[in-house]
Amino acid sequence: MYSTLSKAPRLVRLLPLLVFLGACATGAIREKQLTLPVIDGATPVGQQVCLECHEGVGAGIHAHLTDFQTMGGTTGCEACHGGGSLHVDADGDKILKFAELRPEESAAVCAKCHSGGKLMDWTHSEHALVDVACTDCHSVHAGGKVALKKQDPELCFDCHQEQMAQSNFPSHHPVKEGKMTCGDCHNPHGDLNTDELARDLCLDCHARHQGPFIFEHAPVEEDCTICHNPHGAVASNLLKQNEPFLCLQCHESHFHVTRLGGSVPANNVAFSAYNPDGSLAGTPVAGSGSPPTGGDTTGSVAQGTFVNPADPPATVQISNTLGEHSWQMAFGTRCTVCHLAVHGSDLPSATSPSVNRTPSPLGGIADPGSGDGQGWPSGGLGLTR
Amino acid sequence: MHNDWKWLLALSVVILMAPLPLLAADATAQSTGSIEVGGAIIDIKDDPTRVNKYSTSLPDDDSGVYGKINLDAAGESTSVRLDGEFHDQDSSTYQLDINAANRLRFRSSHDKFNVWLNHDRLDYLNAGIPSGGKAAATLDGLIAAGTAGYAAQPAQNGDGATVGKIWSVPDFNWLDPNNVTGYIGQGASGQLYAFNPALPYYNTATIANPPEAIKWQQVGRASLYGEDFVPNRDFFMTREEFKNSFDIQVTPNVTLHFGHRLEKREGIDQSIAMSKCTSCHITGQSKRIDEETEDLRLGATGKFGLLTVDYEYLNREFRNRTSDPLRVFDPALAPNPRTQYTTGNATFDNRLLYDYEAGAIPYDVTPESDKQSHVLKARLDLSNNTVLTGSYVNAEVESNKADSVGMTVNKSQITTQYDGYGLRLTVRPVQRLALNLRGKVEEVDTSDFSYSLPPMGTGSASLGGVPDPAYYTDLERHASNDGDKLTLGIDGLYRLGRKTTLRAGYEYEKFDRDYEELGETETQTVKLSLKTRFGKTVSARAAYSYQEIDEPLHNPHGAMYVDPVTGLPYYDKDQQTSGVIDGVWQPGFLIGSGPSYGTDFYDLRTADLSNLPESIHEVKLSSTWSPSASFAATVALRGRFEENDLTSSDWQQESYSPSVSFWYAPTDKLNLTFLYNYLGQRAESKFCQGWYDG
Repeated sequence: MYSTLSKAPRLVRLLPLLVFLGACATGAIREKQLTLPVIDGATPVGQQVCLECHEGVGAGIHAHLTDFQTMGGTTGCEACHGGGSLHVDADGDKILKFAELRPEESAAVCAKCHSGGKLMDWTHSEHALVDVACTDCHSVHAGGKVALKKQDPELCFDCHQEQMAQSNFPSHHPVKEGKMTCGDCHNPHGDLNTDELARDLCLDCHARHQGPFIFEHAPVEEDCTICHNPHGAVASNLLKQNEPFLCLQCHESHFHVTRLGGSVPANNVAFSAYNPDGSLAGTPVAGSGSPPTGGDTTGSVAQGTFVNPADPPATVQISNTLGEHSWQMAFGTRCTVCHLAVHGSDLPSATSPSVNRTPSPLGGIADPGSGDGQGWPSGGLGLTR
Repeated sequence: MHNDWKWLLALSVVILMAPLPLLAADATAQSTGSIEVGGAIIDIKDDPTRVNKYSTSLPDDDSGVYGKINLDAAGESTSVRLDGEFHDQDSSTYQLDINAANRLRFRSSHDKFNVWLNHDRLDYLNAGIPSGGKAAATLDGLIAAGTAGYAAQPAQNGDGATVGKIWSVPDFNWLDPNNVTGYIGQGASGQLYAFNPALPYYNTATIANPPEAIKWQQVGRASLYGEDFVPNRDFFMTREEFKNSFDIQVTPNVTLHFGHRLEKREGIDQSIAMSKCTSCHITGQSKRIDEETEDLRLGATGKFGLLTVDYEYLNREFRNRTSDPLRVFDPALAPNPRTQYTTGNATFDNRLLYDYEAGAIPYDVTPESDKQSHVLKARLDLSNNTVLTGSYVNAEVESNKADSVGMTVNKSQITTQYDGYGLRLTVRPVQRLALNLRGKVEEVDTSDFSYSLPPMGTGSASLGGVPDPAYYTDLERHASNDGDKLTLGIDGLYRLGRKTTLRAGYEYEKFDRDYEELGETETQTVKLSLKTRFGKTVSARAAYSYQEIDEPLHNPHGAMYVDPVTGLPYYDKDQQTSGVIDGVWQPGFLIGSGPSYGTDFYDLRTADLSNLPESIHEVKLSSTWSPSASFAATVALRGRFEENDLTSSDWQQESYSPSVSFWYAPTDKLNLTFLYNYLGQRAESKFCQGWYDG
């Protein structure tokens, strides 16, 4: 045992000593070293003296701090309000009053103890930078949850009124239902409740989108707020805009309604593997004959054989059931009906992607190897299932 | 239902009871409590999943009683607090907070609520369906020649006019790519039918003489249709979270933290799938949701004089306990394994990785993942309000992968690694000025891997060659978000007067992505704000921020194929323009057909698209009048202008959001808030329609 310790780095060997010294003197050291607001000449008189006049003040946790917690620092009312000797003599004056302190002064007093956990980032938080004081939100003498003046989210909504309105939009997180609070995502003493990328905060609850996926959607990996407004949205699913308009800002549209009035070869039709009631239909059997070549294959219509595709009519007239309103319907179609795995998937599209054109993947087209080297990503990924 | 966490409930009860002896011995202990019982009625006229998404019971309306309970017991050094709210078995909240002399703190909460999920009826997907195929006479002969049990009769409308022909068929196997009917269907007796309407289109609902009641399904090439197989099902999810945390002060300056969180999501969701290279046939089924996220956190906070150190370890397991939904994908007909590209067919190569021949295969699968992270932070407080903070974050996410129908992958696990190093300094060079300097370096690295696909079909011989299978083997995949991010910032807060502060800030961020196609994003941000108070009752704040973003995340080559010779978009009808142009070989695609029909020409598109701006101006103004402690009125305005001007495309968005609010608290127990907020937002972008695709 001794030999093991003797081989440890000096800092490690000193660790128990540091813990012991810290345990004994942290409060005293911080009071002595930190720049705190003071009343010049005031000295401590003890909490009992304060309570002679201020009876009933301090029902919360701050009134019951022990020496064990203050680690050698001042306890009682004077731990925050400074020495009370002059205050007693000055008949109500000459004491640190938080309502009169500047925000950074009151924060310095609080930071004597509150320097760890979520409070570690206070000095460079957005709230500190816009001159918000600890006492703007906390009522130090009161009890209750972390001595807040109001509960979250009502307290936050006092200033963040646009977010209050957004929390009532048709699509919203369950904040107004009392199932979430602002503090679930935001650290009011810092930034977001994550020390990683912003998307990792969302993934705390929406872990199904964590991945990593084989086929990913770049904006999902970058930042969820590219598509979603977490505070509330008019569109479904907290989307910034309705589909397809949101998607069309980054992708071009494709839709069969554009074929209104056109015609297509008659030799290809769809056949569902399902009956209209959702049960499996009789499954067509793969062809037993040779694949047609050159458009001159003939045969019967028995299953698995081929007919002459040159038989008239060569084309099928498309009669769009929606007529001139087809475009309206296109804009009423959600992209995610087909692109359902928009957050990422491990399963491939039904069709193989085109691959990087350097060189061309198409053996039928000569490519001298001078392709432009583009490719997304290493070939279009297409749909995933 | 998995109940392996219920031991935690028992543990909660034990811990709840533990401090009671302390409270009993405490002569100063006080306890208070309240019980509230109420009722609520909600009547919904709109889509309940949009406006009543978190309803406790019914999706279209909601009524019921609810109860609330609050118990508080506090002594000089020990307190117990219990809050509960109950609506029904699917909606309740309980919180327990025990504080024993500030040396042991235990918090426990259980929360449960319903979320009603969207049900897409898929009933609008009926566009672009051909009205039928070959003339009835042709089909008549063809079907008669090859189909046993064939029978046919003319279909008439209500006026007695012939509108097409109905065949009763023993099965649908006779339907191959070169026989087209308008509809297939099944009668009440189970008999299968085909209907070929008179061109161009006829509504099956008006057929006057069907052999029996028939449920028709429209078929056709280049069509888009949806089928909702569970039209009467409500989709919902119950989200349940059970959270516990212990903080134990082992020495005055060292506190250990333990946390456990279990989140369960159970319910029924819609599961949509789509067949390709047939009609765009979209089906809606249901699938069970049974997901579980379990977090275990261990940490410690130590205070050593001016130094505060914080460490937290997280272990997260995300498990998906549902069986994967399965689908038999439609037989592919354009192309299908029997119809490779031929000039006669005027179709395109078979690029399908699977169709019905693969049988029932999984889709809409949620992969599981594991995460571990370490967060180490240290803060050094010095005199003159100087604070130095450093942080190191390491996180690793793993997800198992496997081969699937249509694809093989070369790794059984993909890992994403995150490392972040941060340093912040707050100084006060003079009493009126606070300066914040900060820097952060972040690295994201996802393991590279490759996947292989079946090569394109061998029927391309008619065009002069078969694609080299090597092009479909070991396709490398690079994660889009891999790269190095650097953030540097400086903020200053200057006190102009006792009640007036000026804040100015600048931030530089550079995200150098490993995947070069997505580029390197540089962001510069400038912030200015002024906050002041006039007298004792009026406060005001004005803020302006400007962001300049160079090369925001965008979809490169996202739209607009332009013929390199004619300069016309999407125009190269005769495939005559291949050749070397500006040193780059251009193949001269026959758009809309030919072997490259599909995605191969995506690389040749010229427009970059994005909804992320290159510049942002934002103004915020607000003022509050508070003549007494019980009344406040606030007016606010936010305006935001964003735009980008990318290659061949531009985008801009304007947002205006004024609001006015009044807050009044006539008593300590009652406060009223009235808020009106208007949001006007207008986005303008180029809309690109790919005429050549689909």
